[in-house]
Amino acid sequence: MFKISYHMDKVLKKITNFLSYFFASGCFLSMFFLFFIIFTNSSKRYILGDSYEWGEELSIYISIYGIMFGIAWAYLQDRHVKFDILVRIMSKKYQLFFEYLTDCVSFVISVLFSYSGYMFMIKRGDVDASSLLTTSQWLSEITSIKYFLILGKLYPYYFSMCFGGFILAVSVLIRFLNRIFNQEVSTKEVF
Amino acid sequence: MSLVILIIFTCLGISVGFCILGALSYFMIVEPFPYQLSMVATQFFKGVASFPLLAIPMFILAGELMNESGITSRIIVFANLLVGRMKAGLALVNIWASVIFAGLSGSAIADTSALGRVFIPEMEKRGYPKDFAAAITAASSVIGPIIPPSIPVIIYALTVTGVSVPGLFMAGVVPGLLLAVALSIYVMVFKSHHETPQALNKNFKEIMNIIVQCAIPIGMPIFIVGSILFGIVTPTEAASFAVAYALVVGLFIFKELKFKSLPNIFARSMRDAAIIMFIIAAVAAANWLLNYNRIPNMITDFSLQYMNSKVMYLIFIIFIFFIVGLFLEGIAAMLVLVPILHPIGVSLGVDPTHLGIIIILNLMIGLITPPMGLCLFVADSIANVGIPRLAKQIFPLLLVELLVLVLITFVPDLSLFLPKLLGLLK
Repeated sequence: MFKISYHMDKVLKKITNFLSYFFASGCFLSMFFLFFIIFTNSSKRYILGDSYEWGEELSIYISIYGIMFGIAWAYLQDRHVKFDILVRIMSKKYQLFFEYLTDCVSFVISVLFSYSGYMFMIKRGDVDASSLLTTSQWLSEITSIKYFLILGKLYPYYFSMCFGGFILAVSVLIRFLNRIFNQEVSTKEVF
Repeated sequence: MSLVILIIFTCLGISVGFCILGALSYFMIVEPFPYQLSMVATQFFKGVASFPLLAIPMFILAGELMNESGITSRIIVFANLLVGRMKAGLALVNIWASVIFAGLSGSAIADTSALGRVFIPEMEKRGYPKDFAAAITAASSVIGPIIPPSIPVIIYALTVTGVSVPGLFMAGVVPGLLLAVALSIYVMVFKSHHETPQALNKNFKEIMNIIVQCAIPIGMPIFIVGSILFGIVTPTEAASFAVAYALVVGLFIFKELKFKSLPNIFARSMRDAAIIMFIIAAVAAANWLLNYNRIPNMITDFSLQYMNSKVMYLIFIIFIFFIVGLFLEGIAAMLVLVPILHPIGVSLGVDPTHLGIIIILNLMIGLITPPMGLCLFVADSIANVGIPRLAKQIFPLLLVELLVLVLITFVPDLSLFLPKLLGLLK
């Protein structure tokens, strides 16, 4: 255990709270749009007989971003599923050591995952997102903003892997700092 | 070496998803072409990029919304109306409230938490020992993931080919009810001395009011399962309708759900779904590697040399899932083991739907067994009696549940009768 100065403590708490809020907001927005798209799309199909062609694909991509926010937030709150019975039977001192070790290993895995996601995006991102292509072209035409065309490619969706690995690494790092400075991470409601 | 890394990471207490990703990353880095690190993200992405999988966050959200809508108290009043006057009345109400709650949340932990807060203090007031009250709450919550709609059932159906979600949903009904009946018989025979039966002091109008109040939440599972069963909607679409239903009931009918609490509920549900889906994606990536190298086929061929009868396989399944369930969270255990063990069962002629129910019930029993029984921990956090006292009380209930498990395992028709009757299975 390390001692922490008053100012460091405040900064760490602020960063932790900001991250909790950021991850929770990502989770909320993903879940909201996920529900909204699936529900309106299915209702439209049953009422009007047709659905948005992008409905299924977009909801899948939104859910993947939601998963990334969720796993980062869950790590910050120490909620992941693990087999920790062997560690729990050890003395407090060893438990703490293994917790540090777990954070370090998880950090390396998150960084590797982020890099893997980056490579994946670079290699395959240029492929068209079949059901979103027409909509992105239409959006670009009516707004005259050519950047909308990127939504018709797989780059923004494959980016979720790289982004997910990155926020997970940040979450692991902050959790680790909270652990070594013996700070509790709040698991209370964020909003 | 990857396997060694996986085992070491797991024993260190690193979360399951990270362990798999770590071992997989190592493999992709050290092995020559065609293996590359980018394949980890590729296969992880493919593992979650599935529309049917979106039923999981939707069902979790629907359950959370229902929990926040004040339906727990209505279910308890209704269960009390049904079985409250019998021997060991309140213990029975606890069990049957779990059956009703199962149709709404599909999560054993949510069931223990929601019902435990009401039942444990109330049962203590009526003369039951507190540790027994906590034990029966945890034991009956195992029914949750068996009775439809159920998240483990959806995950099993997505893991195994050739199994339908409606078929599995229906296959869980009889085992779920059987479990409730077996627990009811146990409490009526061995625990009735704690409480004297109470008379029903309600007039016809009050009874009708209770039924109407409870019919609204009970309508949800009937609507979900019915619409999936008749092929009107897919499970994901049904789950989104369930969310809409729960929102309308909570916000406008019961008026106990507040708009300002919605962001927290939505965020929490996504986080909880993400924990499960993270493992699903990591396991999918690992399975791709295993299948690419034909490992499951090798394991199947090897196992079939020694395991040549259906009975031997079923005993092995009960044993292995019970042991694994003692130490690992149910869904994670299912995702890791089912792709390897399922082909062996199919080769020996075990029906995959029947196998699914055996595995799910087996792993859910793991939720009430020490040292990793999550429902046990939740019940103890409410009752505060200590795990050793709780474990002593849960032991006979565990035996009852194991008996039901054995019955369901060796009498396949108990699970398959209903889906066959409805034409969902051949």
